[in-house]
Amino acid sequence: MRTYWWVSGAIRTVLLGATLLIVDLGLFVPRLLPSGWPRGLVAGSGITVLALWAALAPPIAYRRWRFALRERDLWIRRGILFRSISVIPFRRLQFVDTQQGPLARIFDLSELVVHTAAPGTAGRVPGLDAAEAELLRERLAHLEPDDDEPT
Amino acid sequence: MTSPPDDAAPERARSPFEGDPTRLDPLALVIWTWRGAFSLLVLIVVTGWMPQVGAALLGLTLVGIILRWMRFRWHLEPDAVVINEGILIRKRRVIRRDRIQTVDLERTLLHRILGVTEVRIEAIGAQGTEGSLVAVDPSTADALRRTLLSRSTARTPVQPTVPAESAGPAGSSELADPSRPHGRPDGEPLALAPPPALGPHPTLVLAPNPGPAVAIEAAPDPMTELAHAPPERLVLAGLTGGRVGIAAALAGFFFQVVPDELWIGRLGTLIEQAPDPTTWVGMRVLVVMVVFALLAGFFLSVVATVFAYWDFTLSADDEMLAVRRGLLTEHRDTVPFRRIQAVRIEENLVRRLLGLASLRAVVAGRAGTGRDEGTDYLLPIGRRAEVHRLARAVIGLPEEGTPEQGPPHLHPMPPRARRRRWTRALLATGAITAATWFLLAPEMALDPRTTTLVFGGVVLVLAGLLAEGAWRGLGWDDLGTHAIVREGVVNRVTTLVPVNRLQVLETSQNPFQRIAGLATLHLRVARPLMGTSPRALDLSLEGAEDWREELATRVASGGR
Repeated sequence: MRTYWWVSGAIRTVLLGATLLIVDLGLFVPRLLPSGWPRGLVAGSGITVLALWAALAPPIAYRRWRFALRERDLWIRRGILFRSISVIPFRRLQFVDTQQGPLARIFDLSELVVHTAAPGTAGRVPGLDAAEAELLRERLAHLEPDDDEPT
Repeated sequence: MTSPPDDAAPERARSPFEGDPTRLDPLALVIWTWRGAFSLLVLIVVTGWMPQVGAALLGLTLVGIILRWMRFRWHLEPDAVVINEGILIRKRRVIRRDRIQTVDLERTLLHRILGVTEVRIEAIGAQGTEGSLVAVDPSTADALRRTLLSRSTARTPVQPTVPAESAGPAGSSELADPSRPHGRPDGEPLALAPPPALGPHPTLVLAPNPGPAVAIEAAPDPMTELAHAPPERLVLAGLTGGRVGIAAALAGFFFQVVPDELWIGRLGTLIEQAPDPTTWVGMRVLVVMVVFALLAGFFLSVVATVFAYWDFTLSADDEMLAVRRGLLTEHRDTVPFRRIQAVRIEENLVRRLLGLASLRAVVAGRAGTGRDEGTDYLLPIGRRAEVHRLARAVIGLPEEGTPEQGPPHLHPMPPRARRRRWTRALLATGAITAATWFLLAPEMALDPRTTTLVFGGVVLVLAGLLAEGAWRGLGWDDLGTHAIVREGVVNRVTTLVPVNRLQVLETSQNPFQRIAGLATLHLRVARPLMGTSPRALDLSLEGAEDWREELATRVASGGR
C-alpha cells in the first residue's frame, strides 16, 4: 500500500511539477508571473515541497490510516494534518462499493467505499487487498439492513 | 376527491383517486398561456413586429398548450402517483409514494383569481420538483396532499408532542355529509375516507371507515396551529434579518465613523490610476450612489420578506407540519415529521439583542428552489422562548421547565477553546495592524505611529469581543434521545438533532486543534448536499471521542 501511494504520489508530483515549470518558465504559454521574479524560483521551491510531501506523506498516512470492523459499526481513522475518526453504524449503511483504479490493479489493491444517507460523507477504506475488499464488501452488504425509514 | 372535479369533466363519474387518468383543470390553459406570455412577447419583439408572424406564433403556442393539456393525465395508484404527458415525446412518470418528500400547494395571484391550486410533489433524489400539477381544484389538491403524505403513520419515529385535537378551519372545504361518523376514530389520523368505488385499491383506505357510501369532499385540516407570525413581526424580521441587515448596519457605521480621507484617499488614488480619471466630485457621486443602492436593497429585502412570509402560520397534526404563507402567492407547504433531520434555531446579533430568533427545519433531499441550504422556515421570526418551545415540540422533546425559561443551558466547551479564540483574535489584530501600517500610513497626514496604535487598539477590542462571544456561543448537550449543539457569534445557530437521525459520527482535528487538544464532533445527518451538517466545535479531544462512541452505540442499538 505504501508503495502504491508512493507511486501515485510520484506521478502527481511529476504532473504538478511540470505544470509549475510551464507556468514559471513560460514554456508554450505566456509567463503568468510578475516579470520581476527570478526564473525557476517558484517552480524550484514548489517541486521541492511537492517531492518532500510525496516522499514523506505515504508512510505517515499509511500509519495513520486504520480501520476496524467493530461489533456494530465501522471505524475509520485517517489524516495527517487534518485528522479524523469516523464511526459509521452498520444500520446506516445504504450501499457498499469497491473501486479499483488502473494503478491499483497493478498492485492488486482496491478501495472499499461505504455510503450512508448523508451525502458526501462516504467512508473510504483504501489499499485493501483486492480479494479482501471483495470479502469485506459482501460481508457488509449482507448485514441486516436498516429498519428505519429511508430518508 | 371521491366525486370528480365537476367543472373539469361533468360527464365522468370517476376520479383520479380510483386510478382513472384525469386531465388537469381546464384553467391550466390560462396559466400556461400566462406563463408562456413573456417568452412569446420576447419572440415577437425579436422577430420584429409583423402581424402575420405574431399571429402565427400566438396560434402555434395556443395549439401547443391545448395539445399539452389534452395529453396531460394524472392518477393515483395504490403506491404511486402516475403522470402521463408529452405531445411528441410521451412521458410516463411514476412517483412512488415512499419516495415522496413533501407535497406543496402553491397559489399565485392568478391561481387565486381562477380558483385553482398548483400541486408540487417533491421526491427524494429529484433535481427540482418531481411532479407538478399546475391547476387542480383546491379540494382535490388538499385531498391529494393528505392521501400522499399520510401513509406511514405507524412508523413515525419522531413523535411530536403536539396534540392534534382542535380542528382548525384553515383550508377546510365543504362537507358533503355533516354527520360524518369518522372524523377522528380514536386518535387515528384523519385522512381520506375511502369512497364506495374504492374496492380494487384497498391500500388507499387510510382510516378505518365503516360508513359504506359516505362521500366527503376534502377532509378539514385537523391541524393545530402552532405558531403565527403577524405582519409587524415580519417587518421586524426583514429589518433584522439576514446579511443584508448586518451589511446595512455596518455600512452606516462605516460611513459615519470613519473619516472620508482615510479610505476615499486610498480609493481615489486607485481609481485615478485607471485610464479614465475620475474627479473628486465623481467619487462623491459614486459613494452616494452606492449608499443609495444599499439602502434600496435593504428596503426591498424587507418588502420581499413581508410578502413572502405574510400571514405565516405553522400548524401540525400527528404526522406532519404545514406552513401557510405568502401575500400574493399563497404557499401551503408540508413537512412530514419523519423527513425532518434536525431543527436549527438561528439568532443573529441584532435579533439576539431584541430577544428574537427564527426556526428552520433541515429536511433530507429537499430540492425545491429558493430555499437556501435545503432548509425550510418553520417560523421566520418569533420571541426566543417561543422559538425554543416550538423547536422542542417539533423535534419531539418534552417541554423543559417553564415556558419562559427560553434557551437551554448547554455545557460550555473547555477553557482551551477560549484560549484558542483569543490567540486567533490577537494574531488577527496583529496582522490587521501591520497591514494598516504598511498600506495606509504613508497616505495619512496624521502621525502614523499614533494612528496605527489607536487603530490597533480598536481592532483589538473588536476582535476580543468577537473571540469571547464566539467562545460563549459554543455549547453542547446530550439529552439522551437528542443532541444539541450551538455555535456562532454573529449568527448564533443552535441545532437539535434526534439521535435516531444520525448517520455518521466523525471527530476531526485540524493542526491547531491538535496543539490545543481539541476536536470537533460532526453529527452527520441525511442533509441536502448544500447544507452543513451539525457539529460540536472544539470539544476536548477526550470529550469528543467519548461522545462519539456514546452516540454511535445509541445509533447502533436503535436509539429510540
